Amino acid sequence: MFDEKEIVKRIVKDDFRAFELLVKQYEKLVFYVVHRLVQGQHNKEDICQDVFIKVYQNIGKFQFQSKLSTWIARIAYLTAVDYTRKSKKDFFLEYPDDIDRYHFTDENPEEELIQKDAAAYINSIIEQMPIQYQTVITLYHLNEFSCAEIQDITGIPEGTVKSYLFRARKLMKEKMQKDINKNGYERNE
Amino acid sequence: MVMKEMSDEELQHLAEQGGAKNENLSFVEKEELMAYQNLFKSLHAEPAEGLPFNFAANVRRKVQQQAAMKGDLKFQFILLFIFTSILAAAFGLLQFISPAATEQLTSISPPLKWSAGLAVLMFWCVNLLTTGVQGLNKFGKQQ
Repeated sequence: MFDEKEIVKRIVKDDFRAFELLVKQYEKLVFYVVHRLVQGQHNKEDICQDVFIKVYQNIGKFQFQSKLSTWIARIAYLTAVDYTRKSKKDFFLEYPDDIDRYHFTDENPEEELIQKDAAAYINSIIEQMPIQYQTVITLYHLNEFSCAEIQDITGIPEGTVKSYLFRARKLMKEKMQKDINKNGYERNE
Repeated sequence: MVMKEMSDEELQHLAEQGGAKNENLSFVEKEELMAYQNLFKSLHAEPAEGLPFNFAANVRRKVQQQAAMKGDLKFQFILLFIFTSILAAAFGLLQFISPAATEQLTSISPPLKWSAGLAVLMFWCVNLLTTGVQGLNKFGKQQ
């Protein structure tokens, strides 16, 4: 069994085997967080590596006031957001100030091709949404964090997390229904 | 009597609970519920791509090398500190034992004095640089 306290204690004493165990335990979690926020497989791997280096450098400061997974997810989230902000200077200008008014556009010629693969289609929809929606959707559904934990990770108030989650899911459902109807109509024609 | 349709919030909540007790729902509500259930199923699906199988070992190696490089640099600075301390102590001792010899030493021509000091400093810098280059080469090979 993975004993968090024991592993952390060993890492603080420079036990690199213990650190490797920690990476193995949380690499999926970190990858899921980074996956949706960063484009390009090579970048994702580099960022995941940076995340774990930061984990190693700061693990001595971890006081077990939260779950280790929440703490690592927060480092992953902040690193990915920081990277995205640097790589796309106008990143936050791309989205409307009031993200509650966000809606999908129909102008996407590649969409029809992507729709053949369900997973790729869902990812393409998520990628079009504001980063706040992408984050809560990923942390809640893929990483299975609670809304309270998402607040700890992102700093977004729990009520807002719930509101983003509801709105993002509603938008996605509507988009999927619209696309299914559109495809059905085109096929019938 | 017209039944009140379920809101999206209620439908999402129901879908999260697995859509139990949906026999009382209207046709439209059942359709909406199914759409949410399908969406949630897709959202839970793991991404197709992932990290390489040796990712953990690679990160461990990188962290280990960084720690070793940090240790090497620390050692270089400790070496410099020890060397200057010994030099200062020797000079102090000489001044205590024989002030005349100290005076003789300080009267050595400045170019010679500076050359000796510079040689020591250069030796240390080369050592430091070698440590850094070795560290970078290790990272290069690993990546």
